[in-house]
Amino acid sequence: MFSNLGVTPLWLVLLAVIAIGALIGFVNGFFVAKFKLHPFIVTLSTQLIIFGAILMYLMIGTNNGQTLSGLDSSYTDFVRGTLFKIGGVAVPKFVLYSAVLTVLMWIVWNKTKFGKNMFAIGSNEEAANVSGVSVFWTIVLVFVLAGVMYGITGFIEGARIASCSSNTGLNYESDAIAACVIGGVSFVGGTGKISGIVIGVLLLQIIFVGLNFLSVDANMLYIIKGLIILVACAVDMRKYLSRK
Amino acid sequence: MDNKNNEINSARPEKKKSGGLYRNVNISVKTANAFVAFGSAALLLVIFFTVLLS
Repeated sequence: MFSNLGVTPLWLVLLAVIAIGALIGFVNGFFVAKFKLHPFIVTLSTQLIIFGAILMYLMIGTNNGQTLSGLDSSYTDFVRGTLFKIGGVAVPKFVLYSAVLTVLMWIVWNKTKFGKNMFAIGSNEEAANVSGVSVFWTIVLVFVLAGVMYGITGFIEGARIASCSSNTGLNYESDAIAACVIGGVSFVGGTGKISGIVIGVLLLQIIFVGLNFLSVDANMLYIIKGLIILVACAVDMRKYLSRK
Repeated sequence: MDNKNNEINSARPEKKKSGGLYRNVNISVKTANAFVAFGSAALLLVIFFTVLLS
């Protein structure tokens, strides 16, 4: 598409995706914190806006909306290159990156003032406000942090599948919701642990890899995923009702 | 007296309901149990028949 652009340094690309993710996260956070709009509606709206922008971007020049491929090997090797081998099975580098990000998020959640404020607002917004927590900026920063993570995830995912189209990452949000709810993150707010989310992600992935091994129809996986989310929400709601 | 109480109540800021996404849920634990049981049964049945038919 931009054949005369040359190869952009990786650190610059990473910084760019982080900045774009943070900006989108800020927009989401601003609308949620300022106007008290439902986060589902705000993020759905920005998702559609970004989707339209990507479709327009893919139409530039002679690309005509096709998938972007032929990515530079320095980029794909940075993510897909072999980290080490276990019994002849290569463990790619993105496993290390995900582990680093998980540890980083654990520190942010458990060892920083921002993390404590985040849980305080999730549990009881009014009590947090009375206690002197800046509700507006904490909510905005939560969305900015999420945006940064989306940017980094997109950076890793683009190299992992070695191509990018407008459909890359489609429905990943449902995977994220399912993994979080299975991992004990409550829709009530203020509840959840990084260890639980990691277990949720692994559990969900094991289920789908297992079903793939059994040659289950790929379309059926959507139905199963939807049912898993519904059941996990029902269990979460039951927990909330029994506590109430 | 009643009018005065009403005025005081209306002057108070409305207490925001807690409960996140479930704040408007108004069902018993028994109904929730049935919902969980039905959902789990449906999930297991779908997985069973999907694996069986694949």
